[in-house]
Amino acid sequence: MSDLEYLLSILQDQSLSNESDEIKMLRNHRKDVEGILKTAFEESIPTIRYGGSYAKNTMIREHYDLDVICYFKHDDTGAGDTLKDIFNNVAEALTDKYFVDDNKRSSLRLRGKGQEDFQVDFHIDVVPGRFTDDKKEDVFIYQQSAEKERLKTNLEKHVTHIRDSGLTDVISLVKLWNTRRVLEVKTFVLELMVIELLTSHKSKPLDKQLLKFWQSIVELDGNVTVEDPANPSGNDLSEFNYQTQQLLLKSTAQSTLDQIENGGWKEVFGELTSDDKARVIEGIVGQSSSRTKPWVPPAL
Amino acid sequence: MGTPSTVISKKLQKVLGDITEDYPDLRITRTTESVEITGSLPIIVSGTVLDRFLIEIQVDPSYPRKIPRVYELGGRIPKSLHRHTSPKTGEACVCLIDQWSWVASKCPTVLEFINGPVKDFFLWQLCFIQYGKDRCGAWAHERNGRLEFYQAILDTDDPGTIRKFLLHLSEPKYKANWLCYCGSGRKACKCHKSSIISFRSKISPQVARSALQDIKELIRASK
Repeated sequence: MSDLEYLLSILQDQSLSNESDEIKMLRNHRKDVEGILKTAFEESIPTIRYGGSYAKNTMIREHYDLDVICYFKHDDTGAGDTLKDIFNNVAEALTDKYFVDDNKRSSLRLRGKGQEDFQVDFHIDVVPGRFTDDKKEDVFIYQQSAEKERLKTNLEKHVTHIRDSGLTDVISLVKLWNTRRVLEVKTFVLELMVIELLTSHKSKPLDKQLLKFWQSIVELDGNVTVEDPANPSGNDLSEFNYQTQQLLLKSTAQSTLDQIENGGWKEVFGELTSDDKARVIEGIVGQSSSRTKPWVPPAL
Repeated sequence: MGTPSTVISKKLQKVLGDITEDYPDLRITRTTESVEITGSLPIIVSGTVLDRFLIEIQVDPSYPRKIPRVYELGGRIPKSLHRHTSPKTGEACVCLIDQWSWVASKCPTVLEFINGPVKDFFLWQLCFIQYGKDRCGAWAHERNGRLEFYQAILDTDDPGTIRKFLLHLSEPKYKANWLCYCGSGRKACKCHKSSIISFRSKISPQVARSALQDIKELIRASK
């Protein structure tokens, strides 16, 4: 198997088809969320759509999030007078059915509330906002704990910029790498970096693109500046300019290049998930007496 | 807490083992209070990667005396008792305290802890995910789990025998002249001496004392 074939197999392994259990679950939750919000804000008729990696075609099995945007009309106050009010009211509307994690800056992460799925992460971020005008293109979203409480953005521009970049495959693999190395670089910043660094390498094969990306990271001199295509002058992505994040990114990129040189691509992305997974797990059942077993201590 | 650092001393490296060699997707960070290991852990059986879990392991400097804290960060495992994860803290209960005392001698490095109890915990979770129920046999909750453990290692169902056994293990020193726990009526030194000495090397007196308390409570409750 060539390097390119191997990487394409990894991509295939990570892809989530519309028939996959994960996507079906996401769609079901999206329906529920839509129902809840349209009922709660009946008079306002919010716009509810997919965003994030699902819309951008960069979703990977190991790290997928479904962004469900919930945008109100620019002159609508049914969901709240201020962006903060809208954010909190949308959160409240969802708390009956979901455990709402409101620690993210501009979105509400949904987790399970029942006993069977308590705190299970559904990989859904609801992003409340309000259109800036009646054209329904740009939108204001609320930012918690940020210098500016209001962020202007444009979902369509983001989706188009990534989806139509011609680099969605390499973006997906870089996301996988970011996830496995726990680099904690924001996905959106990473996507923009890939596009920024590989603009003139779109015609190269996938393995060469990845190598070029990591080489470019290693060779970075000074701060990386990436611009938000929805609001280049207005939106500040400089949180990525923190020194420690960039140093870690550079050192990890270097060690990745070393791994490829010394051991090949499988050192980076590992073996493919086996189709015999179910059979192997069944075999484990019969051997369970030799393993340590989970327990629940008192006062847990 | 102190500034996290990725600099690992030789002494600490010895305790950790070559984790990043076996698991290149795990990252080690040292703080003043602990060592944190975070990243994507592949669950490999017979060369097959069954799945991966995003984890964090907090290793106390007193390892292996204190079992490391393990957390599943990806939100795939419900935080519930029947999945052996604390609803309050999210901590995964990878191992019975007595079983940990038993295996800790076989896990001198954290790498062996990951290859042993941590891997076993996630294998159990994968079984649960596949079958929708416990087919790999977790220990019962709380005290009953401890009773099950001693029943298994002594091959007896009798809580009274287990209580006497734990009395032997609870003492700071081996009591050769005490009656053997098995009920033979003979002294320990003439009966299950080697067995008691062997178990004492695996289960610390502190762990045995707390197990003894729990077993006594269970006996009391059953009357």
